[in-house]
Amino acid sequence: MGCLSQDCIPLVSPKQWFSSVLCVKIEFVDEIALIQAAKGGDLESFNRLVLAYQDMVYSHAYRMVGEEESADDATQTTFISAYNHLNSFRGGSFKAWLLRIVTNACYDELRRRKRRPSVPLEPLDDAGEEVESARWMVDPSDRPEDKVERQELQRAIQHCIDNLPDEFRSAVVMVDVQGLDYSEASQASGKPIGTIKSRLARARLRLRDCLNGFAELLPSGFRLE
Amino acid sequence: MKNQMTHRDYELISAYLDNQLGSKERAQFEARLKADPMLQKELHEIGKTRLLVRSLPKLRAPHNYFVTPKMTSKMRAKPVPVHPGWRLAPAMGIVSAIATILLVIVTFTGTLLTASKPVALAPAPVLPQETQVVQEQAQSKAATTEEPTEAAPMMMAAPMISSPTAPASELRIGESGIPTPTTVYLYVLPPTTTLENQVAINDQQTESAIIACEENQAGSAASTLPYPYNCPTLTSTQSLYLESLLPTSTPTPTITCTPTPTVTLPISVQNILQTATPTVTPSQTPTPTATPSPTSTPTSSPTETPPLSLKAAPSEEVGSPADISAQSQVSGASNATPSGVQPAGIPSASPNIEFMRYVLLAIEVSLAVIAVIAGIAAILLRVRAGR
Repeated sequence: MGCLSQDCIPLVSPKQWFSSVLCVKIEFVDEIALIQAAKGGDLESFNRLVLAYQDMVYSHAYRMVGEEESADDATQTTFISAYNHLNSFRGGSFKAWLLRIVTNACYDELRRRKRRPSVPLEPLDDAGEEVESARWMVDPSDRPEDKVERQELQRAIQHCIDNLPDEFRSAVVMVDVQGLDYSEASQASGKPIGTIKSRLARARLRLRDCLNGFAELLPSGFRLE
Repeated sequence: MKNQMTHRDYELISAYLDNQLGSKERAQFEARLKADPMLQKELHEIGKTRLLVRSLPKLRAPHNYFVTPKMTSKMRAKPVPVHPGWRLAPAMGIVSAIATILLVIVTFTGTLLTASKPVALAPAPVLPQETQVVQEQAQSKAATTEEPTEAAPMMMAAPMISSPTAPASELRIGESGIPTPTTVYLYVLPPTTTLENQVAINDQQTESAIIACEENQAGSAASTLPYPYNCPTLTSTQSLYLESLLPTSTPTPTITCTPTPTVTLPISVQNILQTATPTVTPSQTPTPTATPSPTSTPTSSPTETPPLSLKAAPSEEVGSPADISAQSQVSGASNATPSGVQPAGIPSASPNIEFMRYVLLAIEVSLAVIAVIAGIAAILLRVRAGR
């Protein structure tokens, strides 16, 4: 996330630690000011917040639902809902507050999918059963080999994330994808830290078992035994 | 080998990788990690999985998600979901208010019932001073007359049943030729002297009262009385109530005359009756007694038709006047008690009222509990809804 203010000192030089801290402080103060202005009905201020957090929200939504269209809808719904309920934000981490909203929006989307099941992503074999192999995910387009392998790996990981239960998926996306610590994840999900810790351990265990099925896609250093 | 790993071990591995263990837990885990190759293997695999997931790139939003005024107006048009429990706050308040109003009404009604309930259908408590005044007046008036009359009766009929106007359901005597006994309850004032003197006084009073009543009934000796004395003719309601007070009395509506009616009166009263106009009363007792009482057929003559059946006490035959006096004194003293306490020998005259009091008390307590609980719930729900 970059600086929101034009007066923010750019983090171009990693050696200047003081400048970076100052940038964070200015950014935090600027964020609070934007939130207060948005609470007063200033839509432009809120859109500046949207500009700062939309990548994070969209990424989280995509990891949760696994589809671009659904992630797009969930992201737009998240910001509209955040603006309408901005008065319920009583301080703390605005990022965690937004992640909570987008997580709930993704839960709604996942529930809607369960009520209206769509065609599965996995192709069916002659017997009508899903093909467990990941060969169908190979992109036939002519691209560089490394890019193809990287995309395949990402699809494999996303496929394993999609197969997780919703609660486990939320925990692993918040901690491992969004980089939140346990307390932030607890705040964003509204669950105790112990629950986050337990769900995260179970999610990682399932991911490990799932990724074992894509051993050929994994880099040599990441091959699971 | 994998079965040896527990879910707690995987939680420790995950927390260790995320650096979420405390120093003590971390030291213990590392010590265990050195000694357990299986744990090392699991830690290695979970670590690689974690790195794979973290290697996912941060996606960029395909476009800007700016919020427009049109979007906000559309979203704000939707009703804001309200917690179902918070909707109960007004209902709880209404329930509390209704329960409070009902509680006030029931309490007021109960107060009225308690204030207007009949303590007993007994004579109003006559103060001894009033009785003495009446007695003195009677004696002074008797002294002025030439005729030697008896003293003013201390034994009085119950004023509650001495209604001057005859009710419609009055028991009429001799309509069908069958004598209809009428019961008069006599109450004796509390003893003011010794028991023997009181017995004598009671005998005299009983005598004079009987005479007065009979004469008054016959309309012949009304002028000899110091004051108009009522020989009450009981109404059916009064009779039923008084009958209910008597544990041994039989129902009045089914009175059957025995062939040999007897008068069960004290000896002194009986002597007086023998000397005076004989009043023959068919007794309601099923078995005739052997007491030397004047008996006659009820239809012998109109004058001999027994207008009254005097009972000095609500019991059957009494052996001696002293007994009857003592019993009457007890009964009269109990009835004259201002507090309205029923005597032990007489069954409770108002069981229904007592029952109603308990019912009202239970209703009041229930309404109070409902009002308090609903009020507290309404307040709590309102406070939570306001957060």
